[in-house]
Amino acid sequence: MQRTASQTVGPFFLDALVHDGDELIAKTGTAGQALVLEGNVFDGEGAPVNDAILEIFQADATGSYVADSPDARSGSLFTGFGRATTDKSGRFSFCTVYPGVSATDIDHAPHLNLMVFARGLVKPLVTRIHFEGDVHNAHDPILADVPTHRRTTLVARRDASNDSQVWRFDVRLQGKDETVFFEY
Amino acid sequence: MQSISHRAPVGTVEVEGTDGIDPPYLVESYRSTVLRTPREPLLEMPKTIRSLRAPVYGYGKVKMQNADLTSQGAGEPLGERIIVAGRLMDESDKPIPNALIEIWQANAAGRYAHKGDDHSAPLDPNFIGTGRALTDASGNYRFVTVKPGAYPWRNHANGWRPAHIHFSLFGLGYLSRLITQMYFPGDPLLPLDPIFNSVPSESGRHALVSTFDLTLTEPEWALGYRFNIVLRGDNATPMEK
Ligand SMILES: [Fe+2]
Repeated sequence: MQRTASQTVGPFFLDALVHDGDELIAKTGTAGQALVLEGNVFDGEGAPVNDAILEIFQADATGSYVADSPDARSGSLFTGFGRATTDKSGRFSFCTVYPGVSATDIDHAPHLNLMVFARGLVKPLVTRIHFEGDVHNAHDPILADVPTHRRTTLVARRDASNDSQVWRFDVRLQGKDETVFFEY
Repeated sequence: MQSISHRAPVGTVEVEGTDGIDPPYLVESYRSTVLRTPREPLLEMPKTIRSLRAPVYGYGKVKMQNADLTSQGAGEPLGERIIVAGRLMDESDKPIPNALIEIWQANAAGRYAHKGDDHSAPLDPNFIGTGRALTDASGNYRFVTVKPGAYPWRNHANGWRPAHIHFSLFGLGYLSRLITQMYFPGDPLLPLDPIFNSVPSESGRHALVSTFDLTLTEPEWALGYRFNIVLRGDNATPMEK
């Protein structure tokens, strides 16, 4: 059967899709290294995108994705999935833990999967967030596939001016330093 | 100002960078796409992402009454009460049970209960316009709501969105994630709407229009509209035909 086509999320999704605590992927007490991911979303002119919704899906510190189970549905400390919207300045943030290397994809470096929805996006943009300085990056097949000059767009940087748990990852939808996205 | 371009007819459109179902990112007639669309080549979707199961999300938050958008205020909202129901399936016709569906819409006057909506139509104190439901064991879902009004937007001169309900869905695989819009049959605004017409194929657009269904209609109470939704299959490869 033919798939149902994608349509833009539009500008008015706020109360429907985003609820308090959705940006909290790992609650206090989750095993692993705490991680705050912060960034801004920019359009092709460098203007903030203030009506985007971002979804992160990731493995836990041991590299495991949360399996669908009654336990997971009733809510554990680590959900593996979060949503955040951007504010007036296009800024978003998530609280989580540093992901581990997945046992089924041992050649892949730790990463977060990201989907971006917004007015003006008729379907989501999909990408991966890697971490600067991770030893596994050197042999990651996805990073290796990306032209060298664009590789940094897939890498979050530790924010030196801030708490060491804070990593920064900006999403540039278009133009200079455009983020690498995958064919959806 | 932009003129509306009517797309090529039935099944002939094969847009590069899509599989003919989803719109291409850049839709010139939908102005917001122009600065928000990647211009660099997209990379092939990694197998690690294609093979991911869907996230586990939102189940604790779904209550029965979330599927009835007419019962969320002190009184009943104004407008034409309707039932919107259908079945969630994947491309191989397998129903998707226990899946989260989130919807949002304008009120009967065409106004969202959202601070960003500055349309002069009245708000309805009894209508928030957001709903959630889980599909049952056979993949069926059912919402009760009011028929949303058309609303203006500034995309082009005298631009109006056809009446629609936004749907957000999770399937079995991570890439079965879908956000879409459901329309109503016979809406004269459909041929003029750049968002609806961003879908390249006639059959793809047709599938976004709900059908009036007398079997869903409840006597002396509400009209029924059917909207079946088909998600990308588990482990499906994007770009595969
Ligand atoms: Fe809308």
